[in-house]
Amino acid sequence: MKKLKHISLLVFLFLLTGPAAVWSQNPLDYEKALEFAKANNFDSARVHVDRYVAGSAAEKDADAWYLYGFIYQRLYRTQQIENHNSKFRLEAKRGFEKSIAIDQGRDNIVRNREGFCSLSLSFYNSVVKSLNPQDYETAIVNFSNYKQVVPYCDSLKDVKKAEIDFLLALGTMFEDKLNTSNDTSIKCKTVDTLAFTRARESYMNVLKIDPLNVKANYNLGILYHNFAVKLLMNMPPDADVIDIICIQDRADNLFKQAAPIGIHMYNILRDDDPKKYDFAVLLLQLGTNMNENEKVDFYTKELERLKKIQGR
Amino acid sequence: MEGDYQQGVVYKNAAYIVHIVPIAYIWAPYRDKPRRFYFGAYFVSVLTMRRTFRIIFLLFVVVTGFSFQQPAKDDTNSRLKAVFIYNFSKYVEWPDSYKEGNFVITVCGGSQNLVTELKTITNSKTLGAQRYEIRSVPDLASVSRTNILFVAGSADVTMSEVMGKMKGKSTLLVTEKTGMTKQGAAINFVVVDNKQKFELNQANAEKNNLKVGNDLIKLSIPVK
Repeated sequence: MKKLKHISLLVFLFLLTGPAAVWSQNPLDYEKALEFAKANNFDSARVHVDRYVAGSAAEKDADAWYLYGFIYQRLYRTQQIENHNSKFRLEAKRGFEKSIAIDQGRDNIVRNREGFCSLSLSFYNSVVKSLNPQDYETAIVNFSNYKQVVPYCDSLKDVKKAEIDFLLALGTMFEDKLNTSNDTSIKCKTVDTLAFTRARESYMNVLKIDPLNVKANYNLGILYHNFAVKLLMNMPPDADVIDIICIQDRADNLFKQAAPIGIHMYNILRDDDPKKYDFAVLLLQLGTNMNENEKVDFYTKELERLKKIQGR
Repeated sequence: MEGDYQQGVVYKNAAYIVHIVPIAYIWAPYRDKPRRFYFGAYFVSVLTMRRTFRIIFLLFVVVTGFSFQQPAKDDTNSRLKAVFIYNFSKYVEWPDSYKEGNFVITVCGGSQNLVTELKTITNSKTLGAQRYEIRSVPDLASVSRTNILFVAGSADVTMSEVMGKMKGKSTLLVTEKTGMTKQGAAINFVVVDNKQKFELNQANAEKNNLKVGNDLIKLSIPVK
């Protein structure tokens, strides 16, 4: 009885894995996939190419993976072009990446480059379209994919600049969200709303790449300042006096984080740089909110001086 | 398949003419390659080109479309003072004769922002049975019976004039100039470490029959 059980189990396992193994190694699948692709029948092409790459024969076959990438890219183009989380597009990326990992030859690199270029534009397009308060996670994922594929398309592309632009746009989106929300439930212990945290994180990430980036420094200073102002202006008057003092302390702490950013950038920017004027306005507001009359006087005079220099 | 795309590329839109050169360029390396090399390259190049204009436009929107952030210009000091003054009304107890009619807060010579904030905060609120009433007066002569009198630092009055006017009245006198609690004010706003705080002279409050709650005492800077 025990023997019979073992035999049954072996038969069952053979039935389960045998045909799959044979199927997956069918070399004709590649040719069929190619034929269907040529005939614009990408759904059928996909079935065959999936089977082919599942087999061990495809492990070192750069052509197969290129075809895989190409078919999935076409499927994406025809069926999921508006889907910014398209799985077809990710499979296309996987195919091109595998192809290039297997064969580093010039021809293969050139051939796959076109696929990568198309993907990079497509991912960037998705970044732009999903950069809003509802879909920003999609934008982040797509930008990550864009960053991965763009060097294969253009090795000279300044990815850092693109990343800075993206992070600034992301930070600004969160900052706008923070500014437009009218959250009157802000309490002392829950002041760090998601929008504030994410905006700060975005600007900080820009500063990791480029510590003197004027826009990131300015936006970060404004973020701290405006969030502090928001905390004070939205504090519930019926809150406990202890909470009021606590909110005041948090706001003061934020003002104090904005001040050194503003001062540092103000000192390094040239007098004829319009951004210097903007930093002076920020510092004037900080002085007012921090009750520093000397600084208010100083930056009021500086603004007048800069107005003359910049012809405002 | 190729013809289908050529039609789309060359004739569909004049703008696509610019694609001819890149496609020819992309094709060039594949002339001596098997067919499977160049059909793919062609496809992909077309996919790329057809969307270029839209993407360039969107890219332009992203890079140039940052809304310019500006520092908020709200008057946080007025807001804070208003919140504090409103809270003084909750933590100080007035004699019964001052618990009738409206609960009046008078601002003498203060900024309009403070008056606006006080009106916003107290809008439709009551203190027991009393409704809040916010008055703004230009000078001391215009001050009548009031529960709280805030004398702004910019007000053109001396402390002795204020004390003369308020003598014998159960009015909580709030000021914002250094040393005022030693000249008769019960509460005086001061700036400590960049923050708006308040000094409290409990004895001055008690002289006017006002009882200050312990919570307020704890949070104040006591002055004797």
